[in-house]
Amino acid sequence: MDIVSSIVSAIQLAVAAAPAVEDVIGKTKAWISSLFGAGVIDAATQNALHAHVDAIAAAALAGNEPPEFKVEPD
Amino acid sequence: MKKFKLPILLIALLALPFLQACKGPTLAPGGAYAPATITTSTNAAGVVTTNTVATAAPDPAFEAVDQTFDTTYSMLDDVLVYERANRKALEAISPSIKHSLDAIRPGAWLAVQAYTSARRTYIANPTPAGLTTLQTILSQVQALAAAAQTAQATVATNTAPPAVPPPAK
Repeated sequence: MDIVSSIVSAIQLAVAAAPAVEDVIGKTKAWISSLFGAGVIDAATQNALHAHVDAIAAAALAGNEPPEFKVEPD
Repeated sequence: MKKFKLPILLIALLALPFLQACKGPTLAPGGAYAPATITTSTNAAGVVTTNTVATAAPDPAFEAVDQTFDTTYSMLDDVLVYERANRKALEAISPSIKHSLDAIRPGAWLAVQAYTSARRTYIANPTPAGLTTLQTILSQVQALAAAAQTAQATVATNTAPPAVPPPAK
């Protein structure tokens, strides 16, 4: 692959990754703000977090391994 | 911009427990981590009164551990999903990224399963020892997420333009 193709691929990958990275950054910012902001985590936020971790737990305990965690052949 | 955000994410990941220790948030009653029964009543004059009775002690430490796990899992999962979705293109730039992440994948899933199993035990019987177990497993998940982020960051390093030698005089 020539260098131009590599650069184009890198740009495409960066654009594809941006929403996922922004999501994680947004969640981290929101949580840090909750620590130093009003200092109160309301019931709805607690329930949303609990439900989200419950969903991950349900999949893990049922043995439903997501495909991204599986080692696939080269 | 992304190049600078990855180290910030890694620092945030490692700083989360420290931030929790500095100032724990207050949990409003009625949520999953501060269970309570909330009832409202209206008297003859039409005044509504809300009565909150805690059904268990608030557990900010558990909330903090779950929050950190949720954020860490998202970071780890994002890297693995991203690599899987862009495998061909990434291999052209950084051939070792798949192998680096393949070294992490089995342990990461085992750590996630261990956390969720310990969490189920803690919910059934919340003890200090159970919380310590959760924190210990969480630190393993954090280490794996940091390793995954580092592997992804090598792609950015490999795509940096080659250094141009100074012109010969």
